[in-house]
Amino acid sequence: MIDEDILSVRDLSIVYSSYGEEKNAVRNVSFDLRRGEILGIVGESGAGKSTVGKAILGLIEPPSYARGQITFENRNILEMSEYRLNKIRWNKITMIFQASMNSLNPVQSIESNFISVIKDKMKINDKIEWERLIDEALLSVSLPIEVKKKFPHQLSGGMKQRILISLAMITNPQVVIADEPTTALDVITEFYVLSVLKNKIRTSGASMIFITHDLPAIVFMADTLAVMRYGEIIEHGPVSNVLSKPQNDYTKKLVGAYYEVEL
Amino acid sequence: MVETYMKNKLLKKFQNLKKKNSMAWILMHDSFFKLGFGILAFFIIIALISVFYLPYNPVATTGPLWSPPSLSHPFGTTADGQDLFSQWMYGSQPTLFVAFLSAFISAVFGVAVGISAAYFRRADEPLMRLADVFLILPVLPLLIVIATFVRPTNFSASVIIGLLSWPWMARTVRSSALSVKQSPYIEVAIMSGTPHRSIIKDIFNHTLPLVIANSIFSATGGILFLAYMDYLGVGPITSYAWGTTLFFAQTANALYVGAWWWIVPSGLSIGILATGLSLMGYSLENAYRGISQ
Amino acid sequence: MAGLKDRYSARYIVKRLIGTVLVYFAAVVLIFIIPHLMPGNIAYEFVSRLIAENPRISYQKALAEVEREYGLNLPLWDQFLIYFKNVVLTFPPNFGYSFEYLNDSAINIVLRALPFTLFLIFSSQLIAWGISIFLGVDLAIRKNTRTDRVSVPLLYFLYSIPIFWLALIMILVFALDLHIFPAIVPFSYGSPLGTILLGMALPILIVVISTIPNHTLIIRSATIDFLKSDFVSALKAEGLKESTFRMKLIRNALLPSITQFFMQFGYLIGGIFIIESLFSLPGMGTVIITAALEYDYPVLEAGLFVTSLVMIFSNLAADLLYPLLDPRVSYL
Repeated sequence: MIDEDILSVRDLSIVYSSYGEEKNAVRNVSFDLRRGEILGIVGESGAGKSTVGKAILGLIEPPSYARGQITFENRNILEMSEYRLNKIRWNKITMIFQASMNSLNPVQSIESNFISVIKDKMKINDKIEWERLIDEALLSVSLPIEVKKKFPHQLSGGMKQRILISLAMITNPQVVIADEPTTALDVITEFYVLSVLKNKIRTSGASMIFITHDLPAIVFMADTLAVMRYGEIIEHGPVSNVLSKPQNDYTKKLVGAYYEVEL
Repeated sequence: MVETYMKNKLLKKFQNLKKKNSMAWILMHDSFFKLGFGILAFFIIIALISVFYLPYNPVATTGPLWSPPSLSHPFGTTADGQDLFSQWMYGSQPTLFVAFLSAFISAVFGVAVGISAAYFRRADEPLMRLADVFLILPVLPLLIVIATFVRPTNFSASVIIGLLSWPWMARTVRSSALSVKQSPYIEVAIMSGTPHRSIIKDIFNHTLPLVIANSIFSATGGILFLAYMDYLGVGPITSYAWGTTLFFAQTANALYVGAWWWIVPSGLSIGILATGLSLMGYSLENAYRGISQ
Repeated sequence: MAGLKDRYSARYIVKRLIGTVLVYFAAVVLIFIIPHLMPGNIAYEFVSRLIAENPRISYQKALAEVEREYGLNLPLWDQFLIYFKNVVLTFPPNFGYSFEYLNDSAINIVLRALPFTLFLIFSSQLIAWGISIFLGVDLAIRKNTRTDRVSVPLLYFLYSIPIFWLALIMILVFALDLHIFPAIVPFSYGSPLGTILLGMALPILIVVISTIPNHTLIIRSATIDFLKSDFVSALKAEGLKESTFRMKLIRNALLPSITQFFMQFGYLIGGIFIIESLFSLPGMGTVIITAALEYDYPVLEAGLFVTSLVMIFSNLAADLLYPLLDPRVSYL
């Protein structure tokens, strides 16, 4: 592992605002992501995990707002213009959404979902080159290339999830944010998708932030582990350290439950 | 997760609202609704005043012919010297009457058909086929043709308009009632043998806001349909609705004389009143959607 | 697009066609019933007209002649059978000769007018819809901004103005005051194309203005729903170009707007008829409205018949178009 920070988050606070009421979704979160590292963030629903992921892509929209620093390539993402953000989004930082969330355009074929990214982000306008890239991307996640002519509703959850993975990896990003990528899948499919994902990340050398409420998935995937609760990171360290010597009460319960399931 | 968080938050928000009489609370704070309500209230007041007081007899010669707006005749006079301001005030009565009666008739039919179709599975197919037939009919041309033959009164005009425009209501009510009927708590109620009457009543209560929103849109339609009939001279001509004023303006060639005052106020009023109603319907529908989500 | 065979099954098509035929028969019956339910004998109007033109004929003789000619002395049921035979089993359907233009068959009068109406509908809707789809998506993206808060009531207002009033005002402003358009360019079948187009310009403009609000509001509200959906958040994360992003929204808004368009066709066609009549364009609207006012029953029946056919076909088209635009829908 190369010891070089690619992304560093300092004192990140995010306030959600709706109907004039404000709520601190994330409070003073700090962490660093090294090149090639897979960081798992675990926590219960509403702990602010996904919000951190969104903030890294600059997707917190007014009236909600984020404070602090997210440093990427010596610039603070939170202070970037929309124009500059669009140069980073999907070129350097990508996101893997949950397949059950219908993140693929329902009225367009899988191919069209790829083409807009290839055209806009990779600036490739050659049709043969598109075809090659799409086929390659699908094959790399063990999908048959006929899939590209299909529509999202014709595919299973596991297939859609693998498509979302290949869509996120097609631009060779430096950071991938995976937001609950296996939540709605059955256990066997989950394991298969996770293997595919881990393989893709390791071969490409990208870093990943893996957000989930599923501790076993993190143990399988991640190098380091951050535990979030009520918008704060309450424990952070290498996975083995956190598992063997949990400090916080909540982490102890979480780890205890994990071992009970394992045994 | 953000999504769950936001949903919980919305839920809490709406639970709070329910305490404050939900729908009413949202609508009271919706500027579109307030604007629409203001417009409607204005015309209702004009109509009420016109029942008791009119500046002039609207159909008698009370001033100079073709007179542009002046202090004594704020909206000018017609080719026969009738006061257009009085005609305008008087015209609000039949317009509102037909709007609401036709909307009511189409609501009664639409709700009856829609809820029966949703509740009784056997009736669904034939009833919706019937609605389809009515939907395909060219309503406005048909209305004009019927009106030419029967020379409707305000009441019969409302009945004809209502009978031709219920299928929209029936479709909306059906799909909404169907989704309520398939919701778990109604299914539990059906399985535990709750009498039909109370279940239907419950379904009805749930679709009511949607029915009201749709009725308001039907009322808008009623105003426009009446205006079309009147303008062609086949509507209830003796009741002097705004469209009738335009019909007389047209027959007197007001356009080529340049008597804009004969044409502008009544047409504008039709547009403004219908806009007011549409805005109310729009806000109601939004509020309903917000709450039922 | 996947193959058509995956989208429609033979069973669905047969079912849909049977439905269409049923609606067709319902329309045919209704068109027969409406004039016959009306007070007064259809023949009287016609006979008085004949007498006025030709005072030497005796009233009784003319009445008997007309009743025999149009079969009006037969029982209602026999009249219906004759009508049914003439309309459904004959091609082209025969509604008899016009009362007004004695040597012209009713269906010919209507069919001659049909192309003008279709041209008015297609040209105006193509323009209106092309503008609305950009406007609607734009307003949806700007939801709750000042532009949006002002545009929505304005659009509702434009939508609520009766189309004939809009026409009157446009004539007043453009034709009589500003002299931009000639108010009414008289033309008829066989006029030079230039004259026809000039005469159609103002009517088309009016129909465009009065239908834009409807399309725009529908597209706006459909797009607002899309903007809340998951795939739009995904699109935002992809950081696509603004134009690509909008094109995707437009693609998704197509479906609801097309469905709505066909569903509101009946209302649209009514407004177009009135505009035609107002500008005395030689279209179906003028024919039908004149026929109604003149009690020209054969032409009226033929007019309603052709209008119903247009409606039935457009409805069928909407249903069959649906699965082509939305891959999630297939009729199997």
